[in-house]
Amino acid sequence: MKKKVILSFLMSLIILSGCRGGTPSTSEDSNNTSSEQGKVTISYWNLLTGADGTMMRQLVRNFNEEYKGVIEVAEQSVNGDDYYNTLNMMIPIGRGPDVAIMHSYYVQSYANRDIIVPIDDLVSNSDIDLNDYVEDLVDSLYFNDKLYGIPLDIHPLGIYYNKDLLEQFNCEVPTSRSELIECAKKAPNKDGDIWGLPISAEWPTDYTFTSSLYQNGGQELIGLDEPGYETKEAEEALKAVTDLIHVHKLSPLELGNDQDLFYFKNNKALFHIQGIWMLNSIIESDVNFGVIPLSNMFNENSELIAVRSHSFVFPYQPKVSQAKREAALTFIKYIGNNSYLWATAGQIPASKVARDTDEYKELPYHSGFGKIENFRVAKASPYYHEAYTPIFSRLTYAMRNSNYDAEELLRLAAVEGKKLVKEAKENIG
Amino acid sequence: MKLKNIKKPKRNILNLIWSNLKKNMTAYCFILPFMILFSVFFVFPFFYGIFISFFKWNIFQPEKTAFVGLENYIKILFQSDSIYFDYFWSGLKNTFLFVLISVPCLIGIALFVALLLDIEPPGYRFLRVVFFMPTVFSISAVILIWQWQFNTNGGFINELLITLGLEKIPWLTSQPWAWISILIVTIWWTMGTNMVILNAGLKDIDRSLYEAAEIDGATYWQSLRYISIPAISNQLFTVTILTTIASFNIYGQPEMLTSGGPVINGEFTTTVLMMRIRSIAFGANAQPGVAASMAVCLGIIMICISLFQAKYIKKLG
Repeated sequence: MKKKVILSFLMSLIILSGCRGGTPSTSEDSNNTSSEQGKVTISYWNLLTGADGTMMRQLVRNFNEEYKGVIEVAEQSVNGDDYYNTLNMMIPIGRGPDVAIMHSYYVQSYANRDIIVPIDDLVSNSDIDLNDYVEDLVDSLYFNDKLYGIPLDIHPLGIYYNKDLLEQFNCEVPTSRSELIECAKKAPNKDGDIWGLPISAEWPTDYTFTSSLYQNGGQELIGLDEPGYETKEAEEALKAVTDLIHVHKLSPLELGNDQDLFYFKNNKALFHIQGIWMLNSIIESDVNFGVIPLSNMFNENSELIAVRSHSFVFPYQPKVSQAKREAALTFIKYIGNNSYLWATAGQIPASKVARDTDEYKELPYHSGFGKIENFRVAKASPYYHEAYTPIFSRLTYAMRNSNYDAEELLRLAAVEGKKLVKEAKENIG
Repeated sequence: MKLKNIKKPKRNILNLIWSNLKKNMTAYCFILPFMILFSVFFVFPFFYGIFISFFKWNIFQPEKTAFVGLENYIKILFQSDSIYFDYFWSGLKNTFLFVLISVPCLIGIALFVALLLDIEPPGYRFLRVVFFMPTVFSISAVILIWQWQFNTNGGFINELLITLGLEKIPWLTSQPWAWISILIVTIWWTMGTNMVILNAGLKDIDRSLYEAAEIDGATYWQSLRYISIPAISNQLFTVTILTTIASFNIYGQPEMLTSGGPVINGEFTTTVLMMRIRSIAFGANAQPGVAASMAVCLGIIMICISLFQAKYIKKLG
């Protein structure tokens, strides 16, 4: 009996010990300040997967090789939405990374909650020159006059065009909206055949609409917290996007996520609006293609293009190690200078140093996405997300229903945006 | 004397517990791992969730967390100028709609298939496996399979309709088709479990009862109504309660198939309450207190409905 009891108790312990979970080893290792013979280990979290992820891993390996025995970067990649949830959970309890990647439109919100820390002093005492980076991007990373991040890249949308089909339908590469529509109309534009410009009503419509909004003189927010799209300019912007489907009939209705990409990759579309991040995937599809910028495509008189960006940020930590912070800056500078490699994964480097390299200049498609000076990042506001995102579902509705009431849709989105901002403010206190 | 009288039963109870513990030590050791995990992942979060719902919980700056009493509940239930009021009621309405349409189908169709299998047609064992098989798939696999059936352009069903000379149907992007798609996927994916439970119940019925009924001139429907259904009432009871609870907890199908859309008049027509709870509990503007109060309200509604069902089914005998 006694043996049985001991045996069963031991089994219980074995089962329980088998169930032990834990944080990935990289983060554990990196949270312990390692300084074996002066070597500094820093933890680096990002949300880069796919081609992006592979290239970032390569860059980290190169860095670790070059700084062997001095600095070691322990990288950890978490997928999509889970990434921000992980940051939200781990940083407040002091177990966040030393340096992390964050979408630039989130930086203001996280700075407002003290989840990430200002880095003005660190940067001014380092050899990082902010003039090397795109000015608009750097400006968007200031919150309350303090710098909270260093930009890594820019990812704009462009219009991919099928060279063979353009030749087949006797078209020149368009440089304006009217030329684009004229050319796309030459396609049969009917089910089972080739379409001029198939557009998904789901993704990446938010980028598309925001570019249209900028080109039509509108803005996402008024001030820092007021939805800015209950305006005539926003109605014009909406019309410029939806007319391509409902008036000019260049796209099938009801296209789901990535179905437009599917048409393009299968030589069934003359044009395709898509992010630079899909460049490698489209190259692999063997379509003979080129890229033109979104400039002038929603309003002939404006070249502005809405873009987004990844930035390096420094999460809050209860015990700050100056050595780690400096090592992190060395790493950021290295990645910035070597980001022509990052560009091959489908991004435009934020660093001028990288863009000036011969390797970057030789990339065949990147210049097609437009001039850097025309790129505009999301309005810098800690309430950007709350105030602006309600527009997206309405945009999807408008792209699917030709009889939409633009004024009412925008009004409803603004009502929701205002309520979300109010709650966010109350929550922050 | 008095003290002795009070102390004595206490000692007896302790002795009783101890002797019971000693006697069943092996059994307790075996259930210990389960009890620990059950407490850590169910009992503790259950009470902690209720606790959180009374706070303005700030995960980013814990020092700003404040007790607010019933404020979160008032906000979601009555405060019409709050976005969470809109989210709660529209989410609850969509959840109810799904429960109303899915529960009768998930039980009715499962019962129908179970009755057919009970006749034991040739190959019924194979068919039983076929009907049960989808339940072992993960939600991601199920949605991937069905997305390619329902896609408006290039989807299998619409291509079939076009071949037959019919109009395309925007399955995932218009109503009522979005709900119909979610319903079809749910039935295909989850019906197998109900079918197996009901089929097992039908197998237990003494065949002589059917023979006696047949001799007495009972029709098939009469045998079904007066023999089969009452005989599997226990299984029906279990299946009804489990299916209702599972339907209230719907999340994966609308999240992955329709992304909560289509949006009509500013309302996400297939965004169910669990989707709202998740988006409020996590993310850049997480408000766990509000999310927990929504979850508690949903839990209370589910308990009330289950109790009502239990009572009603008992009353039916």
